[in-house]
Amino acid sequence: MSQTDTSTQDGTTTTEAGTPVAPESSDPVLEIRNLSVDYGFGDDPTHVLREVSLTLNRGEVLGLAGESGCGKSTLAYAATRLLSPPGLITGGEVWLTGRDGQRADLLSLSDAELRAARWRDIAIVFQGAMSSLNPVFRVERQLIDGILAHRPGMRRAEARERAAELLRLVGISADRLRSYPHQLSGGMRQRVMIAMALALEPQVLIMDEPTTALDVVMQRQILEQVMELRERLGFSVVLITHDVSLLVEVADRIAVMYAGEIVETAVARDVYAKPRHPYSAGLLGSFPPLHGPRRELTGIPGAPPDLSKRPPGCPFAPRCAHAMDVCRTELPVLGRTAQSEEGRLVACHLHTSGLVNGELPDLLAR
Amino acid sequence: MSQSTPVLAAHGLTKHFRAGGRRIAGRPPARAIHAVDGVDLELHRGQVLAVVGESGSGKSTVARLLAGLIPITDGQVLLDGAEARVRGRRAFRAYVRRVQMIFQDPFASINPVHPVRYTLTRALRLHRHQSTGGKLRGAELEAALTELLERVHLTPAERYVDKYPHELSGGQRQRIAIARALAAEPEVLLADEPVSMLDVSIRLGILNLLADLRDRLGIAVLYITHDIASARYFADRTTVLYAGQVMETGDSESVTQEPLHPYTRLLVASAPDPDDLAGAGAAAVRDQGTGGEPPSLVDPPPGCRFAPRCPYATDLCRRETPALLEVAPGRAAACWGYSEREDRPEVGRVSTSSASGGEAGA
Repeated sequence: MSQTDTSTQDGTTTTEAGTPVAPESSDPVLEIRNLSVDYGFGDDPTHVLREVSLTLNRGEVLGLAGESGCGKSTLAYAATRLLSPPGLITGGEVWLTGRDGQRADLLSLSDAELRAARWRDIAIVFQGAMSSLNPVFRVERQLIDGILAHRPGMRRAEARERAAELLRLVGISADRLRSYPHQLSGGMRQRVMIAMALALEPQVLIMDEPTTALDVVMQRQILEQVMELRERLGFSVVLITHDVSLLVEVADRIAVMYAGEIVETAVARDVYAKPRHPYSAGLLGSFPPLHGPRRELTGIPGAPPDLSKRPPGCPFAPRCAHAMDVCRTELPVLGRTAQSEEGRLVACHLHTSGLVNGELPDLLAR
Repeated sequence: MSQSTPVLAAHGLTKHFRAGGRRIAGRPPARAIHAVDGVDLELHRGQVLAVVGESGSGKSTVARLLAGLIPITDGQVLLDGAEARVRGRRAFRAYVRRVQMIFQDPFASINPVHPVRYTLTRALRLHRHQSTGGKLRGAELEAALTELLERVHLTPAERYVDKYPHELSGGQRQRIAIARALAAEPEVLLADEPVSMLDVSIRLGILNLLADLRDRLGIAVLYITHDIASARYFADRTTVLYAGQVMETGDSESVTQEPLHPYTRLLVASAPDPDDLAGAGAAAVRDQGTGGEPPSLVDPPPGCRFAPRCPYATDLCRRETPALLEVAPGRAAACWGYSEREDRPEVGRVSTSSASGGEAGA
């Protein structure tokens, strides 16, 4: 495996230079620090993630928003070391704090330790979970297999009892255990996947576009259920989706990603009411509102950059209406907003003091 | 609604797909999936009609039926008031010259081994050679290509005309697909989820382009979508489909702001709403009783197809299928709650301008 040689001292590591960490009431479960990922082994690999840092607090729902290809799924897979070649982790740390307060860097665990930690500590509901179930086995067997793999001492009957309990947890009657995946509707298959992810009571549940294949009614039902279970079972959620308006409603905090970087993090409602990065503002303006007054919308001109031909400077600059000369030459780093708000970070030169003579554009100064 | 003859209209459009069993010529299949049942639609010049529905509601089948890609089980399609018969190649080509389709996935709908020039030239030659007499070539062809690319805002045209699909972004590819459809100079564009495969930040650009074509060229657009918010933004009229039947139809603003049919209300309340601070939408959905799923279309239940999920349903709803009733001028809902029958269910009126779902307890 490829990871940096980081010493695994417990609990003592503090913020390394370079990455500002938001002052938060922190009880972090998962801390991603300076994670970098490349695709390709050649002399000229594509840098997909560049020094991404992100913190998930206990009990929190963290939304990861961005367009396809911005690296949000890569971030989730890299953090759990599920990234398959040609994806390559080139640097960073992922600290997971266990229930007992033990901290461990997932990227430097041995394979056996990692195997045990996955699912028990971090579980993932994959994108297109509807097709992640094995079509030739009954739901029962797929649930039990996973449970027994991690609880070797458990008897089969106990595991079956647990499987039935899990299905009831996500609102499916236990007699569905004997069903094959094709006998379940899309929404039910998704629920089965969630039940499976929760089987070992993980601390962190990563959901990668869990509801994109479902219609809005089902989407809402499933997310409501996950949020209710979160309160009951006490896990934290990373919800990855391109639908910002959905995140604003269900997430506590949102991190907006663009071209392999986090460009803004803030409390969900603040992102919606007062976006600080031009990209966040543009993204929010790309969803026509269903309620309230009709607005003329434009979306964002241009297309997301090809990560293998990333321009120097801010990756959003070619599409940004407020781009200045410095944006095309210098990469902005995640830092305080011009308004110096608590718990908000933005990577934009417009917020760098000393660079902007005038005021912020109206859109970002609300 | 305008009184002019619709460019394209469907009356009682029905499609049943065979589901297992042996095929016996001339006989209806023993088991059939009732994908579309008795759908009426009207497309007018210079208007966008949105067909909204969840997956499996039959919305894509409607588009494919109207495009003549699959045979109709029952009902009729009228092009300019005359019954359109799409039998045989010649008739089909004459029909698709006027009714063109745009598909959901621009990565799959454009041949990857040919450059843009080939894709567009073929469409131009197929559909225009009769009108100009002889094949388009030389300067005339170049001019036509340039014009097409400019119409879909791919300028300067020379930069795109020799590109291969893999050199273009998703949004650009979808523009090429639209340009190819425009090569036939159609009167109707059938757009089946034209933006759902695209990045969110470029979706609006494509919708705005379609709106622009509607306004400038007076094309009638059928916009198939699962996203009711985009229907409000882009479409003049909206028809809501559920389990192969029309539940509600009307101008987009009213349908989304004061939905009449219980299903439309559920749909509107379920849509993510960042302004919904109190979680009213979530509450409304909870009140509607979760656990609901569309009925099996192999043996659709008698009566209203939404009745098993409807919180207001009565025995009447479970027994008899409601017709599309005109509730207000230009608005209709297929719900017994709006009939004059004695035994009608109490659906509760929607108060204007109230927040979504606020009326759910009524």
